[in-house]
Amino acid sequence: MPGIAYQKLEARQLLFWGPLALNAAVIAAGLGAAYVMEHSGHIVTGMNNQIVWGTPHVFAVFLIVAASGALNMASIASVFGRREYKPYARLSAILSIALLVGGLAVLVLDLGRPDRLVVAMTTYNFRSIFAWNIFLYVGFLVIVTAYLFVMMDRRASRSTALGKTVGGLAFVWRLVLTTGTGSIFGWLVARQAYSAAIMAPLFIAVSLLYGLAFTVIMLAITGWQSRQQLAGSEMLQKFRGLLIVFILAVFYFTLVHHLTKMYASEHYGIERFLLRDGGTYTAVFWIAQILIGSVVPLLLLVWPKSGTRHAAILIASVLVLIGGLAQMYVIIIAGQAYPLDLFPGMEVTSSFHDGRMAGYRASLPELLLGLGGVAIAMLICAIAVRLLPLLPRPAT
Amino acid sequence: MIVLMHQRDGTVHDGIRTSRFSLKGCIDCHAVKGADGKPVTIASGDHFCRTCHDYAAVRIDCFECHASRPESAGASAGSASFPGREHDGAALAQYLRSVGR
Amino acid sequence: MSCGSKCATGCAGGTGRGCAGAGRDRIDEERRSFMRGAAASVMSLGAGVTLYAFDADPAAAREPGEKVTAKNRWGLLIDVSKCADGCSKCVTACQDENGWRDTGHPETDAQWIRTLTVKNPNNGATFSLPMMCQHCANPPCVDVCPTGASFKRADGIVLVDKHTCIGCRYCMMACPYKARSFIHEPLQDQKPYAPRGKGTVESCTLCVHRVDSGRIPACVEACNDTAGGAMLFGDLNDPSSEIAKRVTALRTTRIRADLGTDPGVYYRNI
Repeated sequence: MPGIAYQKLEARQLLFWGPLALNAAVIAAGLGAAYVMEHSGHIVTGMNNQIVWGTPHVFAVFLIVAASGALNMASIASVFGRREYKPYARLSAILSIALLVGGLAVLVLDLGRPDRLVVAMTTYNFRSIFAWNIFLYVGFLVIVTAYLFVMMDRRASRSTALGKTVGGLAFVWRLVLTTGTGSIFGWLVARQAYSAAIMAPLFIAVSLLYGLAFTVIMLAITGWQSRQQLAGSEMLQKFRGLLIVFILAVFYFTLVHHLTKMYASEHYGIERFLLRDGGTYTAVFWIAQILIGSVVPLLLLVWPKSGTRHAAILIASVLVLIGGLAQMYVIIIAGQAYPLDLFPGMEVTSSFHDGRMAGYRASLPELLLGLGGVAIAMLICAIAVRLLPLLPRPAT
Repeated sequence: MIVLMHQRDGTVHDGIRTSRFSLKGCIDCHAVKGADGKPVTIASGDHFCRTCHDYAAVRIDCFECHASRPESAGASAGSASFPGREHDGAALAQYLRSVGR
Repeated sequence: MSCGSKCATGCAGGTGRGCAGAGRDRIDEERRSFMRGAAASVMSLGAGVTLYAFDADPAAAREPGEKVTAKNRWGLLIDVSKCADGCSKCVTACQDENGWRDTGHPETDAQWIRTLTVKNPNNGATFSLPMMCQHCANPPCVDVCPTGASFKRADGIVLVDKHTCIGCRYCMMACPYKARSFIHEPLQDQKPYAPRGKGTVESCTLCVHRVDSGRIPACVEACNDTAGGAMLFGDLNDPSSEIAKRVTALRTTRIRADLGTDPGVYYRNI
């Protein structure tokens, strides 16, 4: 059985340094934004006492769930023994680490007191799913790093058992991690939009989809940089099939979530708000999440004339990520925009925006912070693939 | 911070409010009057806490939340006023001697 | 120079060390006598006015140096029928007491207590009530806080320990009552007994600094002195207290009790 060969990124100067500089610039802008937010307070953001989690959280949760999903290739290869995915395992592991670091950076820099990160790392309330997530995230980084080592080290990689063990642990861990992330919302009983056990499997489905889309895009970018075809047609067809399955899975959980809410009269209000009367929020749901993020990519992938084309798979992946950001926006921001139900069945008004749909407009600093997180992930990937043999050899 | 730490938790979590446990108690007595005769805030280098913490180059964030001077400005301020604006060790020693006398 | 006028009067001629000790004792004594006075005035008022808080002398229940215990559970009973339309005396009293105010940013300004107007859409019937932290026995904000900064004191008062609050705002996501505010801007000139600062979350403290010195919350005091006397403060755990008696005898409502939060704030005539 021939061994699988890997390579470092060999790109022309400008093709490598150009994107790198761009990422560095976005990171600098993001850090500057974080400084402004820390210095002036969150008044410079669009967040307020109604929308307490805003654009930074949209990006952070998006990146964190994508990180878990990015490990798909490695998991399929080692846990499910599908050898054809093995060439992509290393890339998928580094992408996973990079996306998680990017997401966590955004989350931490958005804190009201980021200077107290050490408090967050040393003082725990174990009743909090948030506290558990801190362990899950840090543990994930450690496990995936070990996994990467096991895959790359000459001696360690010879042991299939070791690879299967660490790979299996990483696989279980990522499912728990995504369950934990979904439960941040799922366990919130106070808000109409949340308080749903389906959040956990929804987030797992979502992570599989975003993570795969990121992997496809990463392969396309590194392929473009090195002027090679890093995934052959056969592989791309597998990606295509998986994308279709994952899009349908996300759609299924979203559908069940809304149908369940819609059935109970106590949730008519939130469902009307999200699906019909929510203005921007409704538009984002139907146009960005459903149309751009699900329907169009699905059509691109299943339509025989486009489905087999590389470009279609790449475009579908980009659309999936746009839809993913929209989905996070709808879950996180629209979910908060609907007022708390203090007196069910009654109309409530006050000076504190009770009973009113909250408005939200993302400000530049928080947008830059969110994009900075994406850039951190991309920068880590770019540097890693340049320095380490993480990329597959070109397809023959 | 380390000196006040256990008292901090005692006050916030256990409701112990004797003056020994009270940062407000510290501030009430150790307020330093400025040129206008009113207690200075943490913004001034003469503030009791800053005299040492500046010298040790330690930035404290207590007063991002806590009031750094007694509420009724002037009422319970200490009569000690910091001698000089120059924050050298000699001035600090002189100040400490003056308040200890 | 002496160690300050206050200290100097307390122990003229003492050494620095002795002076500090004497000063401390004196302050404690001052505090105790003050509390006795406060409790006495509450008692004397309590005879005439219907709603007053402490039936037993709270200072006798706990020395200032003693830890709070689960023996007490502080709570409120609010008679909504006595809340006049448009009255916001409790709100202004809280603002004055704790130093939060309207800065012209309604979206981001903190509100520890607010008046809610509730209207039945079917028949237009309305009523108003004050809304603040409900000091739940099972507070969701405490459950979700990753660092334990959001905590419940042994005597039932739910607080934010701003020393360990990292400003993640998860408690604001979890609170069913919208009781919490995040501080969006740097602050100056806070009240000495109500520390608040940028980047942390805050909410009604049930005037914990007052309760610890044997006084009643500012909102309750203001409501009794200048408004309809709708608010009653007291120890729900003490069967002989006025609040416990009323909560036992009268039909009361707690907001979103269906969530199982077991709030310490009871409403009447909703």
